[in-house]
Amino acid sequence: MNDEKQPQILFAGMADIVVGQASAVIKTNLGSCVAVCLYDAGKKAGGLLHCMLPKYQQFKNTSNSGKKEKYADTGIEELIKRLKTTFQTDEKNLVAKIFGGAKVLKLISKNIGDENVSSVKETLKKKNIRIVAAKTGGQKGYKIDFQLQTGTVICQVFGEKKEVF
Amino acid sequence: MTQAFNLIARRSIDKASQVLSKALRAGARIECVEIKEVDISEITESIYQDNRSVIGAITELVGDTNLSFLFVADIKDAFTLTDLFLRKPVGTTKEFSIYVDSTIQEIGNMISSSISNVFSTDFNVSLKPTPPIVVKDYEGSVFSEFVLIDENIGDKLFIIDTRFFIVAHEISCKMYLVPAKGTLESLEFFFGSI
Repeated sequence: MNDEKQPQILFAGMADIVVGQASAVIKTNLGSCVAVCLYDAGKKAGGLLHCMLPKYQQFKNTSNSGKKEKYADTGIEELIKRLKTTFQTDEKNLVAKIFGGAKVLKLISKNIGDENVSSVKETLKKKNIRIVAAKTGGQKGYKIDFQLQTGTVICQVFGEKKEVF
Repeated sequence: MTQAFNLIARRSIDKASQVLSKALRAGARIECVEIKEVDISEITESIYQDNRSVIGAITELVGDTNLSFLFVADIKDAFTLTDLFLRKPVGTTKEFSIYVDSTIQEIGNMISSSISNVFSTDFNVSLKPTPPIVVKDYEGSVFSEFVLIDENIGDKLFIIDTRFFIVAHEISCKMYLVPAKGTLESLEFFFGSI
């Protein structure tokens, strides 16, 4: 009998935050959305934010503003808070890896993906969280596997080979 | 959920089945799996779990009220649909080509047009479909982009989830119809005035 424990697989939907600890794997799919993977190597704990839009401020007066996880700026705040309350992580020990922000629908003029990436970078800079790896932009969707045992992210752009970050 | 939207959705699906059967010259039935309000995170999480590679056609229906329409087919099933559409023996198309792209675009166009016909002829709600945008990608990525066409989207989506059955072929396609914010209220108004 094989006693090797299978890692727990967690999925993050749009406008969603999923946190976990070794040896869970958090998976998601991206188009123009951005995945922010924060990891604390000491605690082997991390979380993934799947944000859809750049800034809460732009939408806060609309009836549809909704969840904070939808926006890059408020979503990152929320992810840090969630990691702190669940795993007692310290903001200073977190590193970030970011993915996504593609322009999948070429005929649509607005490039929301670029705006999402800029907003994520800006928010992480304000929080003094270092971006240690990134793969953003392009015209195809992304498949992401965030492995919490090592903090490694396996990223596969549609039609391309898997890359390890 | 509004009864008006439920009724229109079911009529639209019946009409789309007839149109697709004629075009493919094969018995085609589109079955309504669910018409429901869903949380955006939950619906996308379940789509990411399947994680298929698909070809999709995205159309917007604009007019008295606004809806977004998505037709997606598994890549290998898109090849079968292409053969049926072009009256070739099934199995002829083996790789992605302009013909596959055009077939999916045309099916998306036909179905969305038949839905807008139901809205205008049966319920007096004037709608026009925009030209379909064809995209080949992960199903999760296609669905995300489809949802993000309206960036003012709320946390809840109102969707019609369907399955397609084509006689003698196991084909896995889906279509989603998502009304924009305020559409359900407009439909109630139109319905009340008929």
